[in-house]
Amino acid sequence: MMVRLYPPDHPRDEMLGVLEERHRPWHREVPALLLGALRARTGGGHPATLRWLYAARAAALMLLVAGAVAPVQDLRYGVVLRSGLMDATWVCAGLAALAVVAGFRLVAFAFAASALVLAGTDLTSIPAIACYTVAAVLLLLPGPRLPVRNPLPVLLALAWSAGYPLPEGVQLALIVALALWTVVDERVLLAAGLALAAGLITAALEVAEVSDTRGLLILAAWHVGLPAVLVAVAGTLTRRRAQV
Amino acid sequence: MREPTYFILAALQDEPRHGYAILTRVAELSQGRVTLATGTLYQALDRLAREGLIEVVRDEVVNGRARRHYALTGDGRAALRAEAVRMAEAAQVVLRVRPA
Repeated sequence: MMVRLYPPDHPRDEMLGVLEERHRPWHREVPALLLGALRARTGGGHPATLRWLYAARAAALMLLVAGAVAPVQDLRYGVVLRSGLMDATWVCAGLAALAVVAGFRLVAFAFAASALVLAGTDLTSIPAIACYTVAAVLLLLPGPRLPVRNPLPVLLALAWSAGYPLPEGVQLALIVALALWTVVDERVLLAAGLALAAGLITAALEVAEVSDTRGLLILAAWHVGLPAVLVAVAGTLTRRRAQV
Repeated sequence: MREPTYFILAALQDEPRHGYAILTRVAELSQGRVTLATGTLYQALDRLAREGLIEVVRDEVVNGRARRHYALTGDGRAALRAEAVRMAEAAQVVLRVRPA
């Protein structure tokens, strides 16, 4: 049954033959079969460059989602819009996100850049502008078509941007899901690190408002330390997994 | 190069082999130290084929099951040799007889 989890273009019949010949206890075969099937289905055998590029696209997707949610938070806190272009911003961000999912990089870039311009003229949401800016930059990286069909980056971005209103259990479940998924595919962790680095733009503005050392340390840990650790861990995993 | 990869390539240096034959040869060459799970073997074969170090040279059906035979490519043979030389040189650092 495990062998059926592999994509149809894999030598499933041949693997069944090997399993039948070996007569090894199932508990010694199941973990590698499960991991191999999940990696085969998620592009786990890609070389390092493609893995980084996929992570960049997934990070762009996360930022487009987070950028769309950020103004909702601002509106809840009473931010007044300068014009009526927010709907257009959301449409552009949504279309850019769909283009990333489908793997159309340049289309995604065009809509992300449009969302950035509209956010700049209409919204006062600095996090949204920071998200769209970094998303647009990441989408400029050239490379082959790499659709991002994993729902985890979108869920993480929603949890990240929704912030405190989300129940703790949901946030914890997503962190656990990310940790477990990293065993199969480290690219989402890499994407999370790259996406969180967008916070550097907002941190640069916040730093002027922080006067105490403790506040600065917290700001640095959240906006510099955490993304750096995530990228370092995921980057190491990428290098190891791309090794022959 | 990872140790399992080294032994998989080494298992193919004399002749093309199918999956089960590779597993038994790897265990034999490593004196039972490297015993690959079937899933691990096929992940490695997939990666090695993608890197152009091995290729499928023959398909057959045995007992109603498809079976492919894998062989080293020129690049695979060169990579295996380079790794063997690297390890031999590293071993020499420790094992070379020192003058009294």
